[in-house]
Amino acid sequence: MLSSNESIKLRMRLMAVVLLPVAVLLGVRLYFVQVVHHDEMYEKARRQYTAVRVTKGKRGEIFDVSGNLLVGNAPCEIISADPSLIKSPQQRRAMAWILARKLEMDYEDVFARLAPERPVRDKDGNPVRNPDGSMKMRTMRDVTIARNVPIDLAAELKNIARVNRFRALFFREGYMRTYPKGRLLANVLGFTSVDGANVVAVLGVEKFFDRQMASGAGRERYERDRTGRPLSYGLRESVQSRDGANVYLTIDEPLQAIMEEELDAAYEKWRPKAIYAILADPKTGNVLAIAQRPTFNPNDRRKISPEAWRTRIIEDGLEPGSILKPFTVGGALDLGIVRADSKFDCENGVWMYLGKPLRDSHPYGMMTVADIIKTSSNIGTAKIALEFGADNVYNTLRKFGFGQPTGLPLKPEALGIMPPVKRWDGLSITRFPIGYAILVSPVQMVRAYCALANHGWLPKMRLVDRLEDPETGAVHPVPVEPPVQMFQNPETCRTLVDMMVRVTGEGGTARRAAIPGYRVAGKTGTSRKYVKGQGYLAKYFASFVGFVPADDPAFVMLVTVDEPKGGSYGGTVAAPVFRSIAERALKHLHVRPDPELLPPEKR
Amino acid sequence: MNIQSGKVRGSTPRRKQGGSFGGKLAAAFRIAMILALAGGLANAYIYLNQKIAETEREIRAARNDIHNTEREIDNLRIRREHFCAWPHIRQAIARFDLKLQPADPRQVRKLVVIPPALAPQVSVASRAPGAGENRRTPSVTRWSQR
Repeated sequence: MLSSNESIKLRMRLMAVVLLPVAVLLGVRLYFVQVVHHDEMYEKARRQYTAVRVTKGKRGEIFDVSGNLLVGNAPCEIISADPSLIKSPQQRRAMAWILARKLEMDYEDVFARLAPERPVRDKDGNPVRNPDGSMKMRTMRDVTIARNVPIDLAAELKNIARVNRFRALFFREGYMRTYPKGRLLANVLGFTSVDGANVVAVLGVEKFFDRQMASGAGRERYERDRTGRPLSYGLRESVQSRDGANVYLTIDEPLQAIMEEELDAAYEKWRPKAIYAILADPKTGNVLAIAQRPTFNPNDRRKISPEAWRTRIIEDGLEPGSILKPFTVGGALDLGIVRADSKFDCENGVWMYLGKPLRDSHPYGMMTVADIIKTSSNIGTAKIALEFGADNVYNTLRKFGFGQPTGLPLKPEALGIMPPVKRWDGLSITRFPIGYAILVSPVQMVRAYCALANHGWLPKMRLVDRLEDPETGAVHPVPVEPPVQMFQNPETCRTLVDMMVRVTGEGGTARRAAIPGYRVAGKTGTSRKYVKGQGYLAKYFASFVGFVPADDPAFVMLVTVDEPKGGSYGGTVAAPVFRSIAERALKHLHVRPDPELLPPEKR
Repeated sequence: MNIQSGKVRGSTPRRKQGGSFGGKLAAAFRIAMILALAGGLANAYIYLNQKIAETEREIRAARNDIHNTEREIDNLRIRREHFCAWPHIRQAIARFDLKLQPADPRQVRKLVVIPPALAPQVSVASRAPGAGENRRTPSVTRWSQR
């Protein structure tokens, strides 16, 4: 029998034999965990108590030149649900009923979205079945109920959810692109679309300046407690989100509103296929207003057609008709080939040239160059062009910017069609100067008239005035490029403007564009529409382009009506629209009338 | 000779096992002080951390309030811009029968305020009514009328 001491010694040895290998194993394990797999285990642990939050900056906004908001970001909420957290069918029905009523949605649709399980479907849309024939179902964890919910409505719903203990409802903050002025300038501003979490710019200024206006995402990484709150002493790394740049246009919102209102009235009166207008400052080339009908409301794009959202003013080319005449005449005056009082025989309304007739709207005999512009004689202009020469006609039109980009930041821009002289046929010299057989864009036409209004200096068109960094407030102006001189003789432009003032005077083609108290210079244009394969149709572009006051213009404006019904002449259809816009614009700009041009009782 | 092996007592008296009561008390006091200090430090550390956490919660709550207020301001700004749109103003004018119409340009005069520092540079002649009339680009150093 062992003594007490020996027994203790034996038990100790046995324990040592058992525990020592365990201790060694633990030590080895500890070595592997702490040393060999340290990084891996540390990272694994950190992942569990580290959270990452991604934040998004705001997309840049668009303002008019005075800082009136045209496109902004309205705060909103995205409402989603985790149907697996819905306690009972009764609660599901109650949730669906409240959400449908508050969000003006269909009850059945909301109820279906809140289904805790949905059948799994294959790529053809057929339900997938289990081996026992039952439908294969998947549990729904995250379904979107509604996007772009206004914050006041979302707050109301949050309250309802809290009171009724709808734990399955979730609210996520966001911003939606909003156009507080509705249809105003819609075609130029363009719009954005949402593709998943990304904003995709589709059209207009939104698209052209997408890179500058896009926001940068931020990222915050932090160690959190059990409830998800950041630990005060834990690791915290953050990259701040960045807001996109704000864009300030050269557009003047009140002028834009005037133009759109008058275009609406004209659109109703003449029921044309389309109508558009541009108003620009001839000195800087700043576009002050630009509008078209049909248009669309960017806040509600469910029913818009491509006809409505296409930016016609930039994308379309048109045969300009007589509004092109002053350029050829101006070129001929500048080189001294003709003078204002030079006379041409207008052949009593029909002139055969190379076996083809060229007609005037009325029969005219011998007329001075000034009268040719005033009455818009095709024959007289064609004869001036023949004396001027094909090369000179082509070079003059090119110099005024036809067939070239205007500088506006909108895409795609139509450059028009200006064939080089080597591709002209014998008739081209009599057709191009009167605005037939060539295509120009409305913006090109306005730019060219800006040169006439600006004493012969052609500006580069501007639509964007400046960009602004919303975080630092730093402003980056878009420079005004120096204008280019068009005429060698400084008197040419003055002579030409005087001729164009007569267009809106007694006996001119655009008496309806005249504004009491102001000298209005302008030119009417009526051109038949050409359709490939069908030739010239009995459908018209009626245009008027002019500037006022003629001696120191506040603006240049083009109005074009595409296929008006009940009228076709520029002087009948487009000139009154010009006048109605110009009268209000002059008041808005506080341009004082010349008392000598007013009737005595109104002076 | 009777030689006895054994430990010879030294000249210093051997300390009594356990020491005196006073010594024990002093040692206990010292240990208690150290423990109290350590406890106090731990408490202070916990207290501070708690305060930091509380403050952070308050900061988060304040930031959240600021964020919500900013969103409300954004929302109001958008609504204000909506109400400033011309179609809305036109409807309001019609609804309230306000008889408003734009001013005749001859009724409008724009006066440019001359900063005091520049005032002496403006000649008397240029201040005369109608002098230096500039219809569209008023100069900052003179009266201008539109």
